[in-house]
Amino acid sequence: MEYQLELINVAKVYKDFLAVDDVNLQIKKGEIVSFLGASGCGKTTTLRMIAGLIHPTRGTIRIQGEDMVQVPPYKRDISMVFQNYALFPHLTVYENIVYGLKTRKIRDKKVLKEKAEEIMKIVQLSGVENRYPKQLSGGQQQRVSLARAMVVKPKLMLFDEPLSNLDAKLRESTRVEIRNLLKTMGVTAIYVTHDQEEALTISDRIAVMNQGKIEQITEPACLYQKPATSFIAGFVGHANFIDGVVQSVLKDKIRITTASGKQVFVKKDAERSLSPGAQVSCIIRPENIQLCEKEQEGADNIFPGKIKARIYLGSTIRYIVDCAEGKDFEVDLHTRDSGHCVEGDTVFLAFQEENLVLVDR
Amino acid sequence: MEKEKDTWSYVNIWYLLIPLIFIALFFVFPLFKMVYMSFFQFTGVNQPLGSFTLENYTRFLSNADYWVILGKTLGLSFLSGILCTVLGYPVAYHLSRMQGRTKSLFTVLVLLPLWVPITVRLFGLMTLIERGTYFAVEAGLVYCGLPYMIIVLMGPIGNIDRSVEEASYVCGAGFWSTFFRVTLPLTRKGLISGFMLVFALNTAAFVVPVMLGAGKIITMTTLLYQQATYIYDWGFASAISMIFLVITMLLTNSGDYFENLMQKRRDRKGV
Repeated sequence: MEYQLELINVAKVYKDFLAVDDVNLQIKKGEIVSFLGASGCGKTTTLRMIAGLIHPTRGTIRIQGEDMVQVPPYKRDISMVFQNYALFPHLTVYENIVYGLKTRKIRDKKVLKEKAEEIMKIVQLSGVENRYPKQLSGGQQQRVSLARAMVVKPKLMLFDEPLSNLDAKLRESTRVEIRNLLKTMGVTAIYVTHDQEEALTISDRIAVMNQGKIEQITEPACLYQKPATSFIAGFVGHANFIDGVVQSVLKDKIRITTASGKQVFVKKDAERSLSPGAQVSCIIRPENIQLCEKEQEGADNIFPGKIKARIYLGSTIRYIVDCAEGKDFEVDLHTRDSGHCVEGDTVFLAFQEENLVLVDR
Repeated sequence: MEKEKDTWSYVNIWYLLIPLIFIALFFVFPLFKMVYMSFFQFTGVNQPLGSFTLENYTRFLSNADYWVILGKTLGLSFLSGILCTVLGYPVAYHLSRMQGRTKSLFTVLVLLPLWVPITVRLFGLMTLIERGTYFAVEAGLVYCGLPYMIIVLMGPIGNIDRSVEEASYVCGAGFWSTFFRVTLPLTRKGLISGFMLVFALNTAAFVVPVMLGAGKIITMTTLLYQQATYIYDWGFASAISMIFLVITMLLTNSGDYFENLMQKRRDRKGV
C-alpha cells in the first residue's frame, strides 16, 4: 500500500544536539495525525523537515511514494499553516489566497476568482477579500492562512500550532471546524501542537513526541486509556502513578507491593511479561478512582489517605489525597456526587484492577 | 495640546534652544546670505557690485554646457544609487539574517571603510583604476555610498518575518519568485530611502570627482569650487548652488512623494 506520507529513520542533529531521533511514521491518505509534545521535543523540527524548510541529517521522507529529501519546499505540493499565520502583509486577503494558485501557474483570472470565492465561503471570509491582513482580527487572519493553504488542494497540509495565538473560546470552536473542513475536503494533514486537548479533538492518530522520538502513536481514546509510557500518561490528561515491585504473577492479574508496603492487584497486560521482583509502574486516571468515606472490609486495592485540598472545577471537584505513597493522589468526582468530604478528612481510595494500566517507566 | 499637558515628559521645550541657535547661526543665516548673493554680481572682491539682477541665473540656465554638467552629476549619482542598491541588497540581506557575534563582526567590517578618511580611501582606489574617467568617478561614488546603503537596508530586511518567506516557498514559489513577490515589496520603503540617501550624498560628493575625476570630469561641486575659489565669482557660484540645491531637493523628496502615491493607491484598493 502506498502511503501519503512516509518517514523512515528521519533524524536531525544540530552540532551535538539530537533534535529528531530516527522517527518512523506512515500516514494514509485523508488521515489527520498530530505531533503532540512539550516545546523542544522535536515536533516542529519534524514538521519543517516534511515541509522541506529543514534538511534532515539522515533518513527518507516520501510523499505519495516519492522521495522528497532533495526536493525543495516549493516543489513538494504541500501547504502549511503557520503559528503566526505568516500572511503576506503587502497583499490583500484575495491576493494572499490566490498566491499558491498563481505559483502553480494558474493565470486565468476567472478560475482564480472562482476558487478563491469558493474557499472564502467555506472558511467564512466573504466580504473581506480587499482588506489587508493587518486590518483583520486574529481569528480572521487565521482563516485567511487556512484558506491560503487549502485552496491549492495540496497532497499534504501541515499545521504548526495554528491556534496558539487565538483566545481560548475561539480555539475550541476553530479546532472542530478545522477537523470538519479537513475531513470534508479529504486532505491529509499533520498537526503540531503542545495542547493535548487540541490533539485529542482534531486527530485520527496522535504521535506523542519526547526528546526527539515518537513515544507512542495511536488513536486519541487509546492514548488516554492505555498510555504506553509514564511520560505519555503524565502528558495527556492527569494521571496518578503507583510504583512498586511485582510480588507474584497470578492467572490474570499481578500483585504489586508499593514502596510503603501496600498491596495492589493489577490486571495482566498481554504485551508485558513480568516476573516477580520486576520494578513496575502503573497509572490510574483521577476520574477512575472511587473515594469512600468508610473502610470496606476485605476489599483489595484500597488506600487510606487524608484530603489535603478540595478544588472546585465547575463540573468536577478534584481532591488531592495524601496516601503516604510519596506523590499525592488526584481524585476527580462529579460535582453532583462529590459527597461532603472536606480538607483534613480521612478517606479511602478504591482502584478497580481494570482501571490500573501498566506503563513503561 | 491638552493631551500633551497630561503626559509627563523629560523633554523640555527649552532644550531645543541651543541646537536651534546653532542651526540658525551656522546654517540658516549662511543659506540666506547665499540666496542674497546670488542676485548680485561680484568682481573678485567680497563686495556686491551694482544692483539686484537675475544675470547669474540666466547665465547658467541659458548655457547648454552647464546643463550638461548638471545632467552628468545627476546621472552619475543616479547610476551610483542603482549600483549601490544592486550591490548592497544581497550583502544587507545576509547581514540581517546573521546572528550574534558574526553579525556584529560583519557589520563592523562593512562600516570599517567609514573610519578611514575619504582621501586615504580614494588614494587606495587611485592605485587600482585610471583617474579622469567616468568609470573612476562612478567607482568612487559607489565605493562611498555602499556602506550607507547596506546599513539603511539592513533594518527593513531584518524586519521581514522569516516565516513569511517560508510561507511563500511552501506556497510553491521558488527563491527568485519569493524575492520579487515578497522580499522586495516588503523592503520597498528601505530601498527608496537608501537610494535617496546615496543619491543625495553622491550629488554633494566633492572629494571623489576632484581626486578621481582629475580635473577631466567636471561635476556641479567641482564647478562650484572653481567659480568660488579660482574665479571669485561669488554671485554666479551662489546661483549655481541655489539651482543645484532646488533640483536635488526636488529629486530627493520625489522619493517620499512616490512612496506616498503608492501608499494611497494601496489604500484605495484596500477599501
